Amino acid sequence: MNFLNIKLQVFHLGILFVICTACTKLEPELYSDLTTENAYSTESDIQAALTGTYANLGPYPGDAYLYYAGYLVMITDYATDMGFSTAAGNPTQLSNFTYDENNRYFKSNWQNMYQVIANANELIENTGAVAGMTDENKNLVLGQAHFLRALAYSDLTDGWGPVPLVTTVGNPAESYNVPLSPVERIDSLIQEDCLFAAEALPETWSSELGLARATKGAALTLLGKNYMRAHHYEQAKIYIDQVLALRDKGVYKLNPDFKNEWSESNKMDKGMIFGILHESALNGGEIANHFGPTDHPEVADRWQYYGVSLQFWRKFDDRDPRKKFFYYNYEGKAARDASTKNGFYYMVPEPGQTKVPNDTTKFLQNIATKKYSYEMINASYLDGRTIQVFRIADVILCKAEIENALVGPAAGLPYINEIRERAGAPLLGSSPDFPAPATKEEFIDALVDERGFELVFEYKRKADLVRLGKYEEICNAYLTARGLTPKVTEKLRYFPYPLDEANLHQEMAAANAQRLP
Amino acid sequence: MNYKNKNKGLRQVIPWNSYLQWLSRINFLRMKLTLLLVAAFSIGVQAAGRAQQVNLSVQNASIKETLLVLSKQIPYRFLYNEEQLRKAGNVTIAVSNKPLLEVLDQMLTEKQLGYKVHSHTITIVAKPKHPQINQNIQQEVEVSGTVKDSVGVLPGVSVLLKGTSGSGVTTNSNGQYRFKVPAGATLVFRSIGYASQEVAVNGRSVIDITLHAIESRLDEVVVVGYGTQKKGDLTGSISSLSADDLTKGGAVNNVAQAIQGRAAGVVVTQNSKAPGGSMSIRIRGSNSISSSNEPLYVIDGFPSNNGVNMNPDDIESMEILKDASATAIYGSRGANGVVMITTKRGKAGQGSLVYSGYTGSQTAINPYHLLDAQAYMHLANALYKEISGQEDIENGAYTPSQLNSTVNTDWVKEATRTAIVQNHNLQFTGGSEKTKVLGSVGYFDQEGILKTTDFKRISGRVNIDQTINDYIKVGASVFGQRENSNYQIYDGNILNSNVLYSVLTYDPSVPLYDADGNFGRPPGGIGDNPVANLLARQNDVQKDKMNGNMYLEIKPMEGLTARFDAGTELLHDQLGTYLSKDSYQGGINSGVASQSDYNLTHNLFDMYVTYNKDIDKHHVDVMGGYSYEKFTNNNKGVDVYGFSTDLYGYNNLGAAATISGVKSYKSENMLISFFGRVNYSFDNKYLFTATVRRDGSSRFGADHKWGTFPSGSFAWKMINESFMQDQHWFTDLKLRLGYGRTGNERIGNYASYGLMSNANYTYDGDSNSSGTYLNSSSPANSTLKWESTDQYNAGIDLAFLNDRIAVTMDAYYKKTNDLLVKRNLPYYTGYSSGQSNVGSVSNKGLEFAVSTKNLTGAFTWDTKLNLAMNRNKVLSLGGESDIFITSAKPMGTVSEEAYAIIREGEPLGSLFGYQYIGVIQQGESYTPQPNAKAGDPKFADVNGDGMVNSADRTIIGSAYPKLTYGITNMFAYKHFDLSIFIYGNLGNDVLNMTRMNLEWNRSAEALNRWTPENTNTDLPRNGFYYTEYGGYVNDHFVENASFLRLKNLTLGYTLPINSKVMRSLRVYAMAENLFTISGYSGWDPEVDTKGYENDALIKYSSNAQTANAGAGLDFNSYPSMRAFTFGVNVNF
Repeated sequence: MNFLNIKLQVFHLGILFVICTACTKLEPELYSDLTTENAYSTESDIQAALTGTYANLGPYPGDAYLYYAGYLVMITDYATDMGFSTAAGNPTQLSNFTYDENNRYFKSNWQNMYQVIANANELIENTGAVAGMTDENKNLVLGQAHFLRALAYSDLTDGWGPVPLVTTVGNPAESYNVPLSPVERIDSLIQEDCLFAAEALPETWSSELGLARATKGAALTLLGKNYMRAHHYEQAKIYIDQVLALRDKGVYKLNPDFKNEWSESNKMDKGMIFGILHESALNGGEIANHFGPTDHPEVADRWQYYGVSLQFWRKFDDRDPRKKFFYYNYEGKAARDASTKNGFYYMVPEPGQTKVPNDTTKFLQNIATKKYSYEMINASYLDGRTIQVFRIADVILCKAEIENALVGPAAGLPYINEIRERAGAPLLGSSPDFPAPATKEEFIDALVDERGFELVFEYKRKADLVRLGKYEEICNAYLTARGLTPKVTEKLRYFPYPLDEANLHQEMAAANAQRLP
Repeated sequence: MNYKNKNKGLRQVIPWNSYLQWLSRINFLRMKLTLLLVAAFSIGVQAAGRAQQVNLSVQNASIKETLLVLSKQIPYRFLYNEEQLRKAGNVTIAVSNKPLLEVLDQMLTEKQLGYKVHSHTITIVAKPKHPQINQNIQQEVEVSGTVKDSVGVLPGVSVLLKGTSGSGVTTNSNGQYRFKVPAGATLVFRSIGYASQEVAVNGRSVIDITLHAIESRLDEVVVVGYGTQKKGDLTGSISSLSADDLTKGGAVNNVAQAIQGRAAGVVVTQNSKAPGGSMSIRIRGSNSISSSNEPLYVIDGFPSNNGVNMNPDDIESMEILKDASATAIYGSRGANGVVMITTKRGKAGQGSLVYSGYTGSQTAINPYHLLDAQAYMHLANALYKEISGQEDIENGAYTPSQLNSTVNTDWVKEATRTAIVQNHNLQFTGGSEKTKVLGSVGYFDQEGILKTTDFKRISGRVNIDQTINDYIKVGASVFGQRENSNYQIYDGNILNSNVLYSVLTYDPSVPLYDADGNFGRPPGGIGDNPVANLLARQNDVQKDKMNGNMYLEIKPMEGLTARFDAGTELLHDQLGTYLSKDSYQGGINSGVASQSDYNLTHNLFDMYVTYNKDIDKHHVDVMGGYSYEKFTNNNKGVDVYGFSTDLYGYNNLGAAATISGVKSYKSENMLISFFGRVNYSFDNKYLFTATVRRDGSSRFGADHKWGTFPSGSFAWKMINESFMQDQHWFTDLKLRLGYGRTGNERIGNYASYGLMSNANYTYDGDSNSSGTYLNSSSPANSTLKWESTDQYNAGIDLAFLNDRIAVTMDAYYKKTNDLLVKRNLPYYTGYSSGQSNVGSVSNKGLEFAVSTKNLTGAFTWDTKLNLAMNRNKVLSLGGESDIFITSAKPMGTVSEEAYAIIREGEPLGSLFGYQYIGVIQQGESYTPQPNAKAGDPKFADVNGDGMVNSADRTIIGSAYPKLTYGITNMFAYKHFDLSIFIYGNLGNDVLNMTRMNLEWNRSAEALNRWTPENTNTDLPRNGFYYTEYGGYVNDHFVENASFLRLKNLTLGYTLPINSKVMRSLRVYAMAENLFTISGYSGWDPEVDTKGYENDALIKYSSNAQTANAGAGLDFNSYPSMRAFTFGVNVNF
């Protein structure tokens, strides 16, 4: 090995090292990911982010079951007299008012609501700066974002009262222990958001832009209901009347057959003000699965995960067609054993009945509504059914409540009766069996029932009972009827903050002790 | 560059040039060397240590030069006195394929030189001046015989007449010799790798001899990062396992199983007993909370995170680098330890063909006593009445007609079977001096004891080494394997698809098939029965792995070697699922199918230069290098439903009516490294090693892309000190000290970015719009940086009694800082968790390994024992609150509950929940649970605030064992060998969530629940799901999972065959899991349900944090089994 050769080799090695030293690029390419840095750059990005925010109302598109796709019912219609379950754990704990802060429905709904808020906040913060987007289009996006944020805050405050008020995009790692804001403060934001949205949004959307977006009417409804929650009926009247004016204009219309509002083929009924639509293939929900009946000959293979209590169902008068809009007293589809093709008979027991009448009958524990499985056009495992958030029937009953509060029962009665008439139920005041309420208090009792009958499993029960001052009374009566201790007090109007959240938040942890049954 | 020797006598140190050559050749030939040495010094299946065949053709060359030529063909170094060789003059010799010793004899005898063979050196010595024996006056006899070793016949053994160098013969290919010697002569049998034997002829005509392999532990060469080292020169803590350790008789089908119980401080847990089930390896405890704690695998120099699943029969040796001074050369991937795998390679000389195979059967071991249908239904009706408000309802769950039914289905029996396992391997090696080849194919096929589950692997490998000239050597390895399995989801969730959940909880009053021949289901019941889950769904996964790599070694000058490696590894995993119309969901949707593809491309280029030099008593090795790795992931998948027929399965997605999902994704990351190492030793007594690696990873925040990982270690070979020369007890005594810093970079490819998720939404109920939203677990964090682990190690290596007892002890302390933690974020931020660097964790431990030769001689008995203790502690969470690990729901309607906690001052794996203190009795009023009724569970008011709520949860168990151990005993007598392998854990707890459901409403234990008539019990009246206070995660379900398992018992017999066709034949019978001593009540105490969450593929997503801190959960684990196997090894 001569000297020159060695030099040459070393030289070559040296070159290789230099080349390799140059290979130090460490910026990875992002092929399939957008980041928060580039996801809000163009108008198209903004529209996509808006769509994503809507999607957060029923997370997991294609397999939606959370928040408005179902889970919400557990904190709005359970822990009242309406929803009932004996399923072990969380559903029973809500039905029996024995829940604690570790209930999955608290955590999941809370989390989903704030996801809507965080995404809406991104839109509100980023839309203004997008180049090449008309102010009109920006306004349309912002209007929807403000509405969605207000809706989520409204749901949060219904459930928990004071919550952290987050309206801007911050560093999540520096956001521990954000103080709880009083409900009044959050109401101001809801009102501002709704006013903005009502101003910005159209009465209806053209089909190209997507019919089921938030509208002026949706914002006004939320705004009116927000004032009602605070018992500010004068302000509420302003906005509820504006929604009714839209009905007069033809924007909304009560379907003559209440059942048809729920037909799967009628996804965008004119009675709907705002709702969440599904499409069974890519945007399916588990709505019929969860709300549908078990072992039923017509609507087969559903789970009856959510069902109304026997006590609530029995409140319907037999003459009210809405009572029949449930699955009860039927022979099951599945052969009960190998010796027969007949199924079990599923019946609603009479109050106090403890023994089944024969050896092939089963008592129903709860009763499935037909709302979310009526006229199925697609029996697929995941369905394309609509969840109505606001509808005109609700607004008409709001009008009844406002008129009763501001004027008196007589002023409110026509509105209740309008709903009853549409349903085919005897009108109040039409017979001694259905007396017209004589006082504001009686009217409220009638309204509590009527709202229940009409809006069963539409995420309204708990807020209605609390707003109308009947939460403790009705819930305790219900527990008593079930043979349980009446234990509902005013402190249960708000749920405990979810355990995981309270673990990170001193104020919530301290408040929870007062919120447990 | 010439170094003049100042000593005139035989040098104590080897001439530097031959030593250098040897050292550099180790780099060149390290595979081969390891192969040969390990083979030579093992009591192997293969006939080990065959005589070295050499080729030589020199004319009038100096002996030194001639030895140099020889040394290139053999893994031995020559020690000699240059002066002596020079004086001896030149030689002329031409031989081909002759045994080395014969050649040496031929060459040296006439020069009045001799030689001594040691384990790895051959010392040239002056020919001893023996008095000449007058052969003429002695009567000559013809002696013949066969020479064997413990395995088979030995060809090429030199048979010499003592005292007459050069006078001798060699054994033929059948190990036979024939030799005329004086009747009173003494024969000397010599072969490299074996102890020489002298036998007096004493007039006999037949002398059969068995040679014994020499084991010299300290001269074994072990593979370290980017190089090799003699075991005796190690300064770090490395456990070394040979092929025999790994595969002798055992039905192991992957690397992890092969390691289990064999190395101190290496805890292998088979998370799932399913065929191909997930395994986890923890080397010295868990460092990381949210990143993987699995070691790095380096297979023939190619780093891989997927090394565990390879054919163990391809492995020549495995080194487990444990302490940081050993692993720091792998920098940011070294913190969890490194498993260096060296595959078998070809060797020069006679070719060999080896077949090994076994087949066996496995049966489930069922510890549960499940209720029959009648008892089950009566219990269900009774439990129905336990629910508030239903106290008076009769037949609430089952009608009288049902109670009269005679259907009684044993779902465990219906879902399980006796399963067959088989394994076949064929391997050939061969080659010439310059070209060496190995080829192997393997086939492994294991049926699961759960019907239709299985695992198959077919693998093939070709390793080639080619010497081009004196300066250049190249080699290539090509390796491919395909695994196929029909998998089920065993991850503990209660998904419809979780077969094991339904096997243990499904209603026994439901028939397997109904009257119409459809799968049975309770009326109105949703989901499938367990057998339908197995038979009516296809769940196929196919994992392909291809690895091709090539190396080039250049030796431009003495002592300097440059090596370049380049290669690529392709992983391609495909999943196909189909729910037939016989299944519940498939029935509703007319067949539901999906296909998914996952691809990983891993490209590697590295180069490093090694230089070594001796100056007097100083020896220096220097290595420096660079590596570039790029990983590209992409995956895609389609979900469809609505088929006209079940015949397509998932193979014709286009035939479906509806597409319900489409996805694809691509990501990448790069790892760039510079590394170097210096080994310095003085007088073979004081050894120093220093390494440094600088790694850059694309995964970290803009400010922290680069990290530096140094290490230093020192060893003192006390045995070589002068004061040790007069003692006879110790044959080895070495102290080791080391420190190093390693890192962990195994986080998401884009963990520092604020990522968006996809969504779509329908604004009209018909068409869909695409959308984006914040990914709630990935907020931006530009300060994200390396997790770094500082580790200190002190060790001692001892050997006594002529190496019959060898002991290694190590103590270590590790501290991991800047922990990569998925910390909880307040949900009101829109996020749920984010990756960040918080806090620190420590691990400290002791390891003890001893190997003894209890009996030598005709009956041999060897024992290997290892013990390890590790203590883990979360030192700090950087001011963060506790982090909770949440269980799956034990049933559909209850909440997930935290069952483990990451808390400052406590170890990872701390089980967390309520303290259960029994049942509330009639008339008892327990103030902290004011509304509780008699028969309700009673929980301790731990914080003493007068009520039981979530604040009363506390640590109720510890998932990591206090002590782990493994004991192997090997016996051999004549042709028989017996090995017994026992391993176990001591002092760990498991939360038995499976029992939670069984004890409530399914197993015989439930009949002992509290009732007004049965009050002397600790089981509440209606399980733990209906309680108003406390929760189902409580210490009632925490069980001590310590166990001792007779894992493997193998009895082998080597047939005394000696034919031209076959060199050796061994047959063996084996029993696995013959017994387990444990108080644990579930399927198996060795279980880690959350460990599956490390397996990203089957889960579709993984959560390493849960897997790390959430060890110690048993929920829906795969049944354990006992296996009996028969196997055969043939060497042609």
